[in-house]
Amino acid sequence: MTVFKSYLKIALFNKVTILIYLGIFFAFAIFIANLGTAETEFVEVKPNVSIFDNSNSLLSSMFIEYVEQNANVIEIDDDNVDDALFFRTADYIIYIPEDFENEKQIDSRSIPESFREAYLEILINRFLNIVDTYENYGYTHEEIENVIFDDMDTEVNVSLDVEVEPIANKINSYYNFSNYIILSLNIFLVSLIVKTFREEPILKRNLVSKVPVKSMNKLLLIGNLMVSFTIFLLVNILSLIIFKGDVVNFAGLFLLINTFAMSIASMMLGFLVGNFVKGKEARNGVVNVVGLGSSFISGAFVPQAMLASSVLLIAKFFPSYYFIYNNDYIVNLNNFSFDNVQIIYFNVIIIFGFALFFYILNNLFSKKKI
Amino acid sequence: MFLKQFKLLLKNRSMMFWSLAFPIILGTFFFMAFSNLTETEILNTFNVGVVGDSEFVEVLEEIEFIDVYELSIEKAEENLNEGNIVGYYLIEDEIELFVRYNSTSTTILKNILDTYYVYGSVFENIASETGQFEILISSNNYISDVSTENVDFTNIFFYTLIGMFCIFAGMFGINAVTLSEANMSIKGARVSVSSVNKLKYLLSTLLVSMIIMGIEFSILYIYLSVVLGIQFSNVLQLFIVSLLGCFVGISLGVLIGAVSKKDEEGKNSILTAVTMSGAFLAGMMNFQVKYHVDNNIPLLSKINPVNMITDGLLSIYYENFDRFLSNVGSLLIFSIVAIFISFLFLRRKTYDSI
Repeated sequence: MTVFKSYLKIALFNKVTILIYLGIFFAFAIFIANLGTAETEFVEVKPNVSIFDNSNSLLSSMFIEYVEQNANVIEIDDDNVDDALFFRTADYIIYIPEDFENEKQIDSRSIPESFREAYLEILINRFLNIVDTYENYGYTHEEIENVIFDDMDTEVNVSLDVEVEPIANKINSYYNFSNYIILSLNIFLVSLIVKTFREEPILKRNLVSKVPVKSMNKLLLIGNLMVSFTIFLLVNILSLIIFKGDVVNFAGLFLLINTFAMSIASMMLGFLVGNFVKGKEARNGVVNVVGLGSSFISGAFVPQAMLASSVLLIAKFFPSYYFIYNNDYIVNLNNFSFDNVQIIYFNVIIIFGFALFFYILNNLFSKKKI
Repeated sequence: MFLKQFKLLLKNRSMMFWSLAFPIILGTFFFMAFSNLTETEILNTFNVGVVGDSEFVEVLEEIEFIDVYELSIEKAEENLNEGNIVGYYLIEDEIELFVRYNSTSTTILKNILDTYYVYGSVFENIASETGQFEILISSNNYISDVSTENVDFTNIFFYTLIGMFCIFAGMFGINAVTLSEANMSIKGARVSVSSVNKLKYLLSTLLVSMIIMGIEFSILYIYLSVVLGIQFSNVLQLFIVSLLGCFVGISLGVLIGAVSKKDEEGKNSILTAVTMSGAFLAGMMNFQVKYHVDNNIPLLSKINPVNMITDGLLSIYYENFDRFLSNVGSLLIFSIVAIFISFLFLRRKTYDSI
């Protein structure tokens, strides 16, 4: 009991840091929970478009109505255009000049050479080409207005073969982000505690006590297991609160196993850091470098699919890679057959392998020291 | 005294190392992680299957960014499932499009089909109205692109990195206070009983810290711009924002050092926590967080020093001078407030016994 009491004491001494890490995590969780949901049938991706109309003519109002049917028209201030494009709030900006009625020419700003730019160019040119065609055959703008929207109203058949679970993406992001928190908090807390017990006066005091070194390490290990188990519980309870029934299924079970493995591996890593790394600033640095760094290259913030293969090759030296690989795999799996879940177990075993590897390193190290 | 302080700080190797090496390591990680990021939104040629034959296939083949493959229905099904094609068109009496997910590319595919039908309808309209059957549908480009190039959002990660680097300078501030306060370190107690003017002593430590941060930032800048090739448009403005940022970091450190009653490690933990949450809100982990915070909780982004630096650097990228000035202003105000509060805490402290 004394051991656990001192654990709690050391941990609580750093409550501000812990609270802030948790704060970041909660903030992200809420951010995720509030993101819009995707649909399960075919829907057109509607790019966000902002229009500045200087023409105010019949043609421009027709044009705007047409754009509104095919895209989300959003209002932004003129001086916010830079931000809107940079942060991808708007995909395309249309400036309608004064002589639009005669020239039919528009100015645009977009993300150069992107999919959405190509899409909007098709849309805009289609409309203006139709208007031009009608004009060539003697139609006035009033006459065009009467026919053009009927022309556009086609019923094209599109089938979406596989249903995509909309909630899956959110769960995926949540668990991938949890990698950062599990790693950072575990390394931070465990290394702090281990370090405290390894400090010279305390170490010497413990060494002369009748508790053997091995069982002292075991005690430390049990205490650290408690810490990492608490973090593990926290991540999963929060997930249950946010996603409710959507994580009470096979996928949820496997995510649970996966986070458990990751917590253990992170805890062992923290143990190692506590033993190896001397200075306090150095330890803070390691928490940040390993926590943020391996999260970035393993795909905790940016999906693995978007990372370069050379980066992923490096990421394979970190347990996070396998954890996130599993997360991505689990949420996209529709059929949890024996064959399909093999790879999940395989990755979990690798993560535990990392934990074992760190544990062995630890024992080698602490034996040498005494 | 000035030179002594300089030597003293340079000898503090762990502090030197973490204030400089950490941003460089993290910057390298960023560079690796983001080198591929913008490519996913860039329009690449993609593959489309066609089952059956009609003049629609010719329309498709004219589009430069899609490659058309004529397939049997089984092959098309198989290729779609394996992800080799984005979708396929089944041409019977009507044309139907099969896709596996919603994305911009599948939307483009739907729109190509739409356009095909729409032009058909236009053709019928004009034919029935004018009695002509040789109708030429215009195919002009009506768009003149006035885009600027400053839309590479991966830059924001490096801006938050610089923001983080600057605020981490708070370490030096904390160190300076610890060394000059009698109740915080033995050295502080020694300084207090000596004839040295405490304010002078504190200021000289801070000045030295500032110079060291300036040198460190120059190294970081060279690494980011030369080795990693990150673009910073206006170097002078960049240095103004960043050095001011370092100053804010140091003042924040002094503030934490003065207000908190913990030991140096505890204070550093607070600084780390403040910096990391500031970096999160400024968009380090997910760049859209910054946009949402800016627009929904503007107060939070106004008082977040990491965000002030990030936003200042962003305004340089946009070449928006007003926004640059307003960020410089908020940085100045932040440091003045921080220093003023610390001053209230640090002044006129005497001890009978410690």
